[in-house]
Amino acid sequence: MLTRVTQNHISQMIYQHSHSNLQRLSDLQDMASTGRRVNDYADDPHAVGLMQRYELLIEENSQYLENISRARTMVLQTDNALLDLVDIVRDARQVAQRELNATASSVTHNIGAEEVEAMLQHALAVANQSLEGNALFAGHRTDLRAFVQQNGEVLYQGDQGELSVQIGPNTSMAVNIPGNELIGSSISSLYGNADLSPGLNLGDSLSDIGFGAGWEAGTIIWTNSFGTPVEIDLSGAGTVNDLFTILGNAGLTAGISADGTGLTVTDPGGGPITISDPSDGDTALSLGLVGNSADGTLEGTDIRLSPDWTVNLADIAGLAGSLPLGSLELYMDRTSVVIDLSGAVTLNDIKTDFEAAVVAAGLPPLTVDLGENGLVIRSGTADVFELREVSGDGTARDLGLVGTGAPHRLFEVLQNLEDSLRPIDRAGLRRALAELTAIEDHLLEQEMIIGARENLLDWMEGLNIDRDFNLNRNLTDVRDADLFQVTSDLKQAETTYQASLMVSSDLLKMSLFDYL
Amino acid sequence: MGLSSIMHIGLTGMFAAGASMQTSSHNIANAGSPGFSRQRALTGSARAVKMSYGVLGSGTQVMDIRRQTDQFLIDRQRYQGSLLTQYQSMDLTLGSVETIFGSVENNHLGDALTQFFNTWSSLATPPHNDALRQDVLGSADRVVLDLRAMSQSLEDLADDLDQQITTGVDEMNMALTAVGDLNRQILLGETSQTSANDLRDRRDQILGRISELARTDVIERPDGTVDVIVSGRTLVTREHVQRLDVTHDASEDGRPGSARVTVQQGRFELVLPPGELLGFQTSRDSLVVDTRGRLDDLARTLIEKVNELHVQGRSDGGRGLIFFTGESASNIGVNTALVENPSFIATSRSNLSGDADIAQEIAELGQSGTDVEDGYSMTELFTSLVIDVASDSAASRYRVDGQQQLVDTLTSRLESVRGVSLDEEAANIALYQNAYQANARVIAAVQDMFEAILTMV
Repeated sequence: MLTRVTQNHISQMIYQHSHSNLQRLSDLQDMASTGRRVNDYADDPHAVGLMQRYELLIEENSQYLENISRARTMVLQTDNALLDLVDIVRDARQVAQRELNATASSVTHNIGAEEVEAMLQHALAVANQSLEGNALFAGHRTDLRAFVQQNGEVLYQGDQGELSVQIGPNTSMAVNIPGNELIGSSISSLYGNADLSPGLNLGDSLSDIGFGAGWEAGTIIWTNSFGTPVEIDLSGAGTVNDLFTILGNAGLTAGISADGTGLTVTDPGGGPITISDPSDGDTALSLGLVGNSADGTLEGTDIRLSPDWTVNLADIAGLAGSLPLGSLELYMDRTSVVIDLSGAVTLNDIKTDFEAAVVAAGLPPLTVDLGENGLVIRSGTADVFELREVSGDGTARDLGLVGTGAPHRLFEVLQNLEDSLRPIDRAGLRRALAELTAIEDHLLEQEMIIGARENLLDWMEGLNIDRDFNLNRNLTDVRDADLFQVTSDLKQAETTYQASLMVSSDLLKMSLFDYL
Repeated sequence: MGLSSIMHIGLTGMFAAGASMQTSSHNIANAGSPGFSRQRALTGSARAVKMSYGVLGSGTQVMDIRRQTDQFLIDRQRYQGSLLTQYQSMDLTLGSVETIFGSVENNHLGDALTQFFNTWSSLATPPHNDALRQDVLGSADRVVLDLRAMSQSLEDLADDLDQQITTGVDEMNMALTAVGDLNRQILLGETSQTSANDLRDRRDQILGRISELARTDVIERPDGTVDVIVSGRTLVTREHVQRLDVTHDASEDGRPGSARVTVQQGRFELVLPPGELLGFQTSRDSLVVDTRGRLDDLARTLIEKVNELHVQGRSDGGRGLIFFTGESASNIGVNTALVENPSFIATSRSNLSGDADIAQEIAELGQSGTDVEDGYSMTELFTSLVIDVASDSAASRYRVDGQQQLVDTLTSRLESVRGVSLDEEAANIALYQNAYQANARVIAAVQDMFEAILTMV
């Protein structure tokens, strides 16, 4: 409590209070003129944190939307291309049917052949389409023409790469159909989808690792825990065991990883450890060892050998618990055969038993081959076959052999059709007709996949637009001022300020001197 | 007893009333002078005359002209004032740091970072377009330039603060010299009976300013002079003054070292007490350097993480090219090999034109949900830095407001003791005027009495 109130004191009070009134007025005016509740970072750090987070998410979201719209051009063009191909196949079928009619003559056969040749060229042009210089059907080799015609044969130049697009947080999708999928294979075949590669062994030759790709002999660079790079020359190694010896001599502990799929190297000095390739080599990459690890133990990638026929089924991790094998069912030419594989000990036994059973049933022969890491059943002809599970027996699924083996080969069939028309070969024509139907089905299947992708893109776009809306609303809630409130506050603050000025000026004018 | 002594009593009354009047006028004239303490003429009865029948009063006399002030409040105000100026100077720095980081309207580095990672995402999205490589380089350039500009601004701010310390020390030296001079004048001007009020007011005012620069202990000696002590070092005794100097630490990493305040030609460092100087020093050595360090960390993480992925990629330029050069916000750059040949930007490990795994992984560094460091993505790391700067700045605002209120309260109290009240002075003047007139009437009455006696003659 003050005992004496002096003029200085009063004027100081006036100064302080009108200053704070003015400050408030200016804050409110800031809000009114910017429409924002928060104008400085320090106004409300919590709100600033939220705002920045929302703004970040909005930016991210708009990037997803942009990605979706770019991806859509790709998907739509693929869709159109597939429709074009379907039309071509239908036209080709009509030609085949027309030429099988009794009214057809050698003249019409020749015309038909010309038509089919034009269709072949058209199909080639469609399959070689590109978008902004990106070949649509060449997998990752978007810089190449997907298909080239050489010596009357159409060859695929691309690979099986997927072009993937990020369309949402942690959501990516493939937007392309690689050319090998598009045209399929020229014979009926069923690719097994079970991993039958055995684990790595010390005696395995390095030239077989990486599913037959082999290794690139050379030098790797080990950056140890002190950050010192050490070059280790591995070129003398022949087997996995040789490799471990050389690495051990260099001071690294190496071994086969616990699951047997790759190599593991450990820096005895503790982490971090980095293994890399010199600029001109791929040795570490081919050994699956490029990378770094903070704890000193680097787990390599899968570099197992492709299975060979001598592999014991017991050595295959994927078959653990499923041995001995049981039976599977083959359905072909309206005949069903149950094939008993219970006596198989090696992969070769499976081949022998399977092929023998097919022949014994009087069916056209099927061949069992080894793919990269599984079995492949081929028919050698365009005959369709189907492999099924025998109820209660998982053998077919364990070996990855469930599905239909069917032919679908776009360019060859068109070529065969053309060849069958000059001179006319009715049997060939009929076969081509059947195959064209299979191809049409196959293309429609691809078309469905693309349709599903279009739907997914639409759905994700809707989701992202919704998210954008919600994020913007949240941002507005945090950032923007309630203009109605601000205006009324502003009016009130203005009145307060005027009142304080009025009272102050009256108060300052008064003095006892006026009355003496 | 005699008529002349009565007349003399009237004269002393008139004189006292005049002196009081003069003091009041002095107060009114100085009502607006900062630091002025009102004065009052203290009057008392003059020595009495002993008569056979009793003791007769012999009028009034002015004993002293005294300052009305409260040394305790002055000391408290100075003490809290040093903290206030320290907080204010730190607040000013935080405000500048905040400005460097942008504003709600213009979150420049945040936008640049988001843009940078978004261009990678575009580059990763089929159909692939080589022109987008230029976008990546452009957005990377924006990030680089912004980081460098912010680093430079923080550097400039540190230099400014160094300059402020030097200026503050110059001012401090001038003030200390002034206190020494005033000490001498007060020593000469005061006797045991009288005090040099106005000189003391001026000295208090200067001491107040010294305290704002650095909290000061003031010890008054019996002879009226004061010793000025800062952090245990006596800087003024009577008219002797120790001047302060500024030295700089040895420079590190090419940046000028911190400024230090020293005494005795740089022989001893003066550990700065609370006050403006400490505010500048703390701002420079903690706030600015710390923020610059965090910005450097952010830049380093960006460089390391982007490079770590980019070197795994393969491009027309081969494998293992780094994307960013440098290791801090001040020297970050884009690898010139990439600028000259945008095709050297690696978008995949396979260098197949349709593959973009590396570009996608780099884009993900900036996407929320990716754990680049401490569970934050690259862009979130920057956001958290901004929030920290904002929080510091907001906390500082509250601190300054609180301290300002405390100092205002003390100032009010002090003003209430020493300030001039015009009403009070008006009433006093009326009183003194009346006293003067009354005493004049006494003299007139004595005059009449003299005349009565003279007519009798």
